[in-house]
Amino acid sequence: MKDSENQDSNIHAGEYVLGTLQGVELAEFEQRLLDDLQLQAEVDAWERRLGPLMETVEPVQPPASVWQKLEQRTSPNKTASPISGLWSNLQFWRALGMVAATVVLGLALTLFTARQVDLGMDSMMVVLNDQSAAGWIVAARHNQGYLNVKAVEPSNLPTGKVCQLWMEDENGNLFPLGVLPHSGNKELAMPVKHTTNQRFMVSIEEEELLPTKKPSQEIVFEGRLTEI
Amino acid sequence: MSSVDNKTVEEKNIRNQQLTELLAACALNDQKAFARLYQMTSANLYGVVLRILNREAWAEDCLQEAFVKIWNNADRYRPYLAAPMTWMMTIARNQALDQLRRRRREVMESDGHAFREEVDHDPLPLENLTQSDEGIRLKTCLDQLKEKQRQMIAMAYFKGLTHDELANQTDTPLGTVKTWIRRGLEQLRRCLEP
Repeated sequence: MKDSENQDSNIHAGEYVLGTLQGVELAEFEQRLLDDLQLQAEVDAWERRLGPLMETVEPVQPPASVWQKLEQRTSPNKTASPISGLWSNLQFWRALGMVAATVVLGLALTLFTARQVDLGMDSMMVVLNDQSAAGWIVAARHNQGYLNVKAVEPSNLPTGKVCQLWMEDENGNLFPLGVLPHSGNKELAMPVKHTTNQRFMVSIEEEELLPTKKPSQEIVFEGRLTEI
Repeated sequence: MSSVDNKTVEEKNIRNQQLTELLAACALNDQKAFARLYQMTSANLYGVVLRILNREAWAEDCLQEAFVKIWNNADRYRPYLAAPMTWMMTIARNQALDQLRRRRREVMESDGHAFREEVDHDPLPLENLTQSDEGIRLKTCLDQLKEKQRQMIAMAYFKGLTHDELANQTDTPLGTVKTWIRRGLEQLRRCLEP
């Protein structure tokens, strides 16, 4: 690239960070930014150069209500998240002492039908935790290359241990899919697109020594995604 | 004095180290670390978003969204790319600018009138830019720009105004605005990285 073009890119990155780019120029810049590492580095450099401007602003103590809302939104045990309805119903379910996976599945299916549209998923599975309650919801879409995992009430594990999710295809081949999240949502990439013949398993593994071929510990959960 | 004194530098380094460790703990879903991080930084971040949005209700929403982003993206923080405070402030500023632009668009679309900007008479109080070596360097370089250039850069940075909007608000031809900003940025870069 010529020096003049380099300089243009650099100044455009500055204008982008400053916020003055508009219209076609902005759209073109953002398009380039997606896969141009050099440009991304230039944007980072301008963020650093201009960042001290924020020091000119006097700190202001925010009202306590902001933290209260934040705490609710980021804590897995608080009920302000969109799954609050599901959560309270699960409490009800647990109180009844029904622990069979099929029952959980049935109830969760009902509860989730309302959210099916915005999840955009067409099949799902409830992974039970160590208390035989719903630990995670795993959702997928037919012919799609990833799973959507939502932590509901994950198992309490000793430090350094994690729940690893596996998929077994119709030919009996095992694939590690990743670690189930401790809170929030996570997307796990699938080595092949989702089909109804796949089986899923969970094993408890050392976080630092995740196996890649097969579970090194016993399987603590097994199930299939069910169409909804 | 060309640099902040040693004691301040040391305090800043300790604080940066603490913030970096807290972000690392947040990446592992440590709620207590998140509470501490909020306690240590929320006033700085709130100051910035309030400065950009100028309305408390919007700024409170924005601060909340910024911290949710910080919590969700803590694992993406790379200490070698930016100081923790710069990283968090950048998230807060971008969140505030997005919100401001969205509100501007909504107002324009709903009644066809221009969005009422809150007037900021002192867009860039440079005397505050003395808390860090980076700040002092930037101040020295900004001091070398023309007053108008400095003002434009400050208005753009804190109000997210595009070239067109800057031209309208300052009654300056669009071409002149673009040239001033361009030259201002070029001068700044040369001055900061000679």
